Amino acid sequence: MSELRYNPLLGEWTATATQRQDRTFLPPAGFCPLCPTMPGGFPTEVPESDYDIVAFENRFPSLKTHPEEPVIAASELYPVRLSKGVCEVVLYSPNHYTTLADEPVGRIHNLVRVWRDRFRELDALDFVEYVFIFENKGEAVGVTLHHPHGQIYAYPFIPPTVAVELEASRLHKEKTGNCLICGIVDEEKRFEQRIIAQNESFIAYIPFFARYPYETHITAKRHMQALTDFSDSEERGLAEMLKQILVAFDGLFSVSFPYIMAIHQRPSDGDNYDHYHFHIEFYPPMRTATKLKYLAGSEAGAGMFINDTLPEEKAAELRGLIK
Amino acid sequence: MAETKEPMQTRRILMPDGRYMIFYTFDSETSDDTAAPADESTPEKQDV
Repeated sequence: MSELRYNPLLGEWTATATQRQDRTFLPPAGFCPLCPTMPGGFPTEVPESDYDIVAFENRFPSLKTHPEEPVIAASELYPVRLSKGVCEVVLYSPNHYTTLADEPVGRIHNLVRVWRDRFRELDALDFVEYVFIFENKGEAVGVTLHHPHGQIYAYPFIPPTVAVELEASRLHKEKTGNCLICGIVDEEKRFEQRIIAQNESFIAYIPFFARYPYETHITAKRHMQALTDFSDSEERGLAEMLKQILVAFDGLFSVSFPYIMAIHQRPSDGDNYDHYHFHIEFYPPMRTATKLKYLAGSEAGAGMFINDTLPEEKAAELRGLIK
Repeated sequence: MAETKEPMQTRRILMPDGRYMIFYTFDSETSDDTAAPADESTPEKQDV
């Protein structure tokens, strides 16, 4: 059962998705449901192995193309709506034991092409207002299946974090005539100390306002709004930048570094978002080799993050690991 | 907009429960970059 329940206190939607309680949780080695089905083996979710990347509808979705009716009635104070949307899983490889960081640039480039293809198709659906491409990596951020994969949620509304960025960008454009994120990139370039790496098309930095010690943003140098605006060389540039950053992450503490990767691009509701700017945000939970950053009282209860580190120092650490 | 070169092939199937699955394959020349040696990227792989 699933539905969207409105939170009038925060002005946002929460999805109930009770079927997700039964999803596969950290299966033993050899029983990964995302590995290809092998002859004589147990039937997995993926019936064949002859592919580079595969995308499919999530077996345990939070949003559905054909959602059931809500189990509870709405009221004036508590609106309820169908949890209509799309949840996809994107497997990066048939190989269970790889990670995006381990993949060669050419294969990461192929993943960027797949992201673009999925964005283009989901963006065109009339009930979709926002296509969110992301990856949860590592048990520290709640991963339940280790097979290398990302996810895509196509929401029937613009999610709150993106809505805040859109509004800030709109107001900045109104006030100054310029793009807010272009301004952030210019400021980071001027200051230099928070830049981790850059190439012709992309720049990676820990922003001035980072909430996590190793929070990293990868931003397009050209002012564009979505993956479908990229040239082939810009897709390649993004793949090269992802490879550099992910390898640097893994080099920090000699572990396969956990993170949440969030791709922020324009909404899909048909409005004009020329004031917005494509970028990727990473939220890694590790603050040292043995300690995690938790969302505690101030973060979870008040929405104010406390970063125990200086972005300038953490950027220097990562910069030293760039190959 | 993206340039016209597209080395990607797709094949879409429907699973018994009605969900779609899209298999992507690429020309080998787009996938054959040399991977970083394992000891360069993740010296001792552990899940965290």
